[in-house]
Amino acid sequence: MTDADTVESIAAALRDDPVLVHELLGNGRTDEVHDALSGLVEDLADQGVPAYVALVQTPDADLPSSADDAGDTLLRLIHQELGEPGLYVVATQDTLTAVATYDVPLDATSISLGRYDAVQAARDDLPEGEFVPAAGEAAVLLSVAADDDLSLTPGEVDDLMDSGPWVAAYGDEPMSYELDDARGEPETPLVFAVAFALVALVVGWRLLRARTAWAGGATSEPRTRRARPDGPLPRPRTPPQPRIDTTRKQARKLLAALRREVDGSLQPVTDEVHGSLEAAEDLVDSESRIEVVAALVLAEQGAGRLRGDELPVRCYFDPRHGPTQRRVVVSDVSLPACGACAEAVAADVPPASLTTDDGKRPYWRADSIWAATGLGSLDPDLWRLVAERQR
Amino acid sequence: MTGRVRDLVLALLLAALAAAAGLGAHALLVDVRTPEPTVIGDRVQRAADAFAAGDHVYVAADAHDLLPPDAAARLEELAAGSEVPVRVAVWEDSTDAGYRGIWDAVGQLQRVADDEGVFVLYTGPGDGVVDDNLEGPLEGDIPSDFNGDPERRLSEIVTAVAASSEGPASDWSYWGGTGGAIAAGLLYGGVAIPVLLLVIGLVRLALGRRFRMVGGWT
Ligand SMILES: [Zn+2]
Repeated sequence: MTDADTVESIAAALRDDPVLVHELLGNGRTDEVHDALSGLVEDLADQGVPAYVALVQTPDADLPSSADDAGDTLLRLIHQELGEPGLYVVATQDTLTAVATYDVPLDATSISLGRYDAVQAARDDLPEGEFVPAAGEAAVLLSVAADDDLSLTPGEVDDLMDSGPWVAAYGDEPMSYELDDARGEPETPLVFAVAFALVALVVGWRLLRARTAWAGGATSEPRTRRARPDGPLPRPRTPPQPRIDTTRKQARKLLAALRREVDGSLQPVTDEVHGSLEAAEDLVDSESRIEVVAALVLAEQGAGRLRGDELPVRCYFDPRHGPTQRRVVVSDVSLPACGACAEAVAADVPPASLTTDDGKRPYWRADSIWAATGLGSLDPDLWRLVAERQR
Repeated sequence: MTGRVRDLVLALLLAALAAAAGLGAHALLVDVRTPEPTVIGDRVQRAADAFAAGDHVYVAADAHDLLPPDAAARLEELAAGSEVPVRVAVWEDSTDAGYRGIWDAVGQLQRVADDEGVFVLYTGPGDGVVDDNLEGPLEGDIPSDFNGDPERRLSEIVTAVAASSEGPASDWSYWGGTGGAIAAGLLYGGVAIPVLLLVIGLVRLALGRRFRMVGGWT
């Protein structure tokens, strides 16, 4: 296909179709430009003004070198060839957009002035690098010609520019090196994939282990405070178990003081005081731990009796724990207990009991006077049982 | 033990997902960095369509006076015989044809053609551009001016292209090949791990929890 490139062929084309747009002035959208200009030409025709628009390549013709004059000259040549009345708009890649009227009641100079104002208004709104191409100027000319005042308000210009392919906004095609830079190295996606995978693997593993540990009952407490092996419930604090020598020393001290008081007493002491003292003296040097503990109990009870105090009662479970603080009920029996043993019983934990000398069981489980009297905590006549046993 | 195996499987699954996410992140980055392409106008599109249809020479409807059909046919034959792919587009120069300049037009042609080769755009005596999108360097002495008779000059250019050859593409790799890329990925990931753990710890602190997570690395 060859574009019309003589005045004769251009006129012939306009006779078939009053709008002729060549690709080189088509703003990259030649068909769209043609159809939109045809619409404007029809609007004008409805007002009784025929119009011809030729946006064409410079034809083989004898044209002046000035772009302004060349446009006007070509327009005149085309009109001469076509011989029709009407509004003529002609532009080439080398000329300005020329306008003229032949035998219609419109003043071409006024239209041209209205065009300059409107194109200027349109340009003011355009960003850097964009412009109104020949197609847009032709649209402006047709619109001005259709306007009663032969001028467009800025709002009308905006509406016109938005209504069709009248602005050239081409932009810069990215150079191949710019695209290469943006794309990066061919292996870069692999770098991304490996880095992401490694981070997810390691951090994911750590998070999953944390989740597993958490599900297993761990808390965010530090390890030293957290880790408590599974096992029996914690034991209530029990008083330290004095060594037998400590107990013996304590008992001897009490006995010596009691002996001095009894011997120095001006009044006769009761059998109970005397019996307690002698029973304790018999037991205090014993090899048996339980008998040494009994000596301590008897010495204390003797001293209490001598002073006429209430009989001192020590912890049933182990007299070395100290004085009774509370009474606890075990198997329907009310027992005096120290604070720690009372707590243990309340918590359903075995209290720290004094054991038999072989250490195999609590003393109170054995068949002995110690068990029968609770080492004097249940029966105040321990001294008598000891004395009878000695006999 | 089974908990450990399950966690390992899950972690590997996470790693696979993350690798895909990494590819996606890279694609997104490329997308963001890539300059906005221009809109292809009908003039460039017609030339690209002709090339896609197998033509080596395209003469626009306005340019048959520049390169008449018999000259175009001779040039077509010459271009078709070139081992290095060469495409010639001929059209009248214009500011209103849908592209800013001839470098933009030839760039659009290469983009739309989606084919490697040497692209010659001629817009009249003295005006034109030769550009290529070959993988390797074009080794040859290609005339860089467009003076003189169009057919003669274009024939000289196409002949010079035919006499040239495409050099080996540079095998230089920024990452040093696949192995280097994997090593670089491990390095970057290795740097990112403590950073991410630190961030997790700080987020936990911000949420009023302890910095350290429960459990350990094993
Ligand atoms: Zn006790």
